[in-house]
Amino acid sequence: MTIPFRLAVSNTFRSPLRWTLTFLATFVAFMLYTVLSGVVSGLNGAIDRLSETRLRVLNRTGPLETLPIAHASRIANLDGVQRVTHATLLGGYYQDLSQPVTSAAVELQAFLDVVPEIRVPEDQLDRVLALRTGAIVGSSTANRLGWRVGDQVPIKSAIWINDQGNETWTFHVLAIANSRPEDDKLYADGVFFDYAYLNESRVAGKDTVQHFIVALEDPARAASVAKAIDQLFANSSHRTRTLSEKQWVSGQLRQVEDLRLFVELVVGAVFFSLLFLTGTMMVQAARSRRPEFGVLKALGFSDGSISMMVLAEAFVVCVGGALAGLLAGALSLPSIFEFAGVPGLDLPGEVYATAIAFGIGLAGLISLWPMAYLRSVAVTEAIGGK
Amino acid sequence: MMAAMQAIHITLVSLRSISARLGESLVIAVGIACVVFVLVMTLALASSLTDAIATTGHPDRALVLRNGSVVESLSSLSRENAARLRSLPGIARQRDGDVAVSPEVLVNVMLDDVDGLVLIRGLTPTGFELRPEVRVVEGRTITEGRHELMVGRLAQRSTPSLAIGRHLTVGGVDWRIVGVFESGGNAHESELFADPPTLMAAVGRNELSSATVQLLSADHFERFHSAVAAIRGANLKAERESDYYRGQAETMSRLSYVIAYVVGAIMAFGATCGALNMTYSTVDARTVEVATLRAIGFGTFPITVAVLVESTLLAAIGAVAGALLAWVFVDGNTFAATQYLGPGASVNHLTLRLNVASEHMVVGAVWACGIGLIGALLPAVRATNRSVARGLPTV
Repeated sequence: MTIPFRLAVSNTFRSPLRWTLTFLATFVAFMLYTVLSGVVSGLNGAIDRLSETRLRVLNRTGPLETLPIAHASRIANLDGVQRVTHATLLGGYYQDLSQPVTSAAVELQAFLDVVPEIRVPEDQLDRVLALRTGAIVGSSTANRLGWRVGDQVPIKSAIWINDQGNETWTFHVLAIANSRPEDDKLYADGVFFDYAYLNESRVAGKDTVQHFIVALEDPARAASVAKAIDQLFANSSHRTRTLSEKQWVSGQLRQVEDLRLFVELVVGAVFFSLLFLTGTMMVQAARSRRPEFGVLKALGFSDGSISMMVLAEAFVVCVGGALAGLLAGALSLPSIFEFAGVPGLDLPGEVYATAIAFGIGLAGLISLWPMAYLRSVAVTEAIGGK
Repeated sequence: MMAAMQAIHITLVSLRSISARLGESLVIAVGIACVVFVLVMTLALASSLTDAIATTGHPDRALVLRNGSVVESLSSLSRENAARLRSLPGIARQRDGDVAVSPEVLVNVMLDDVDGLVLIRGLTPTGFELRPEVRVVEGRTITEGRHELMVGRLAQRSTPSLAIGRHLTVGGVDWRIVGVFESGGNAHESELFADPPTLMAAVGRNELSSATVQLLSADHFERFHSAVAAIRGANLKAERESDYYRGQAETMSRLSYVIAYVVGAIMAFGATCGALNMTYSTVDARTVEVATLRAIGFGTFPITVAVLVESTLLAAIGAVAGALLAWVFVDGNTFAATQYLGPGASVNHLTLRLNVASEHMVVGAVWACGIGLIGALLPAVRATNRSVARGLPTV
């Protein structure tokens, strides 16, 4: 370790209060950055990874209107369609609306074939298929709500009333999907159960589904098949709109765009003020220690090594604060995702990279001023004046 | 008395000499301005959802929904049952003498040429009369039986293509936008209005969604509520409109709350550290000045007061600048909030207007002055307690 660096490290902690305050401010700024950009890029990342080649066929009016189940066979006959299945959302929530549970009535086996990202252990799947009220629960949903295999869970529906005249649907959790580490966490959310259970027990809307899911023979032909499906029903009383899965979800997440703008404003203001306050601290520190730097210069330390000392001090605070903030942010993200009810996703690598780059950039930027100041100070003046 | 005179003198001296310390003084003001900007922005965001939803519901109006229904747009109400509501007790009368019951239909519509979803509410003239807060601000109101739409100002803000004269395809039919309405930035302003039977025919709905009822007074709710529950075989419930919207606010889009409160709290903490540090550094730098003042006979208390006054004043200048910046850049912006019941099932698309209210600015300013005061207190006390000889430069 070189002498300038060792001096820098011991000097850093000379004013513990000032150092602590600066470190905390840097820490908080980076933690905020990590959490906010984690949420935004997590949502964006989720949308980006959705399939552009698997299609969803919705009612032309809107996503909550239904379609007759009979549409399925007509879609299946179209050129380029490999497989068709359907899903009907329960609009489910657990206990109250603040705990929404994505829950869908599907033809389980066919659904799992068309959406291979959802993986269920064989033995568990057999048990689900054997029981009408059996349900597959995604591992993140199960963890969030504390459900285990064998539990009997009531999910309330915002849409469907059962033949008992109430909105509570009871399911038996018999399988947990995507619980292994190698499984796709994006698809580890939700509850899937047999369509027959919903269809036979609901009082209205029998033999309708909310949307069809279409797997294609050739993904490259997604757009033309989508067009063909919509044309097929152009004159039907239930016209359709076919979207890729990516379009289907991203159209509803207008708030992601607003969120990003908000995050940019907050992060911008935070870093701007951070630059100011750490900058003042550095200048102040350099000024108050002018005589010491004079002594160092007299001892023969070059301007270059003194600059290195200043830079090293800035690094300890900025990069240290950045790393600590990054760590705290990354650790708190899962619970924030959970609280916000969005699927928890890993923090993308570029968030880490940007944070560290910000930290280094900040250290460099705030060192410039004191460096220039110390360079301009003459040895005699520095030692002479107090 | 003596101390007070001294304090005034030193304060005046140090204020006049600010120009000599322009750099440091600016740093405090700019730093505080950033803090206040973010604080005011988060406060505005946090209150926007509650503002929008709380002002939608009125305690003297009731919302009739299907039993078990938690979201109006997912409720259903048959025409027969809607007609049966008309004879229930506690309902006010309209100007023309008819009972003030407004059967409504609410449809989540995916527009063809516009990205995203909108909520279209089928609303009869009774529905308009029931809601005096809805005002037509541009164009005209819809005509019964025609494919015409009115757009809420906030819906228009989030989807600018919803302008008067534009045509939209809803349910395979061509509709024309004929008017724009405002309703004080509440939840309805994110909606579009249409004639109920025309809308139902276009989208293939046989049932209404809900009914809104004007009660004789807020006190008549209990009677109306039990009368609704007693309608045989209807399976309906009445909720006080204000309670319904309060419930929606509580469960809506937790994300907004997370952002506003978590970010606000973290930010406030960091900002306080930062600003303390800045004031600390600048006051600390004036050790020599403080020692000189004491050497020529000024007391420690007046000096401390002068330092505090200056720092608080700089903080206040920063606070005003930050609050103004927030007002200019944030006020009137919109923020989308959605109630999300899983992919493909998002309901309640709200556009929130961020109002930078005077109380947000006051909170920001008080906070900032507090930072300025506390930040200066510690170093000021330290500087004045130091022995004069040590504080002065050795010549």
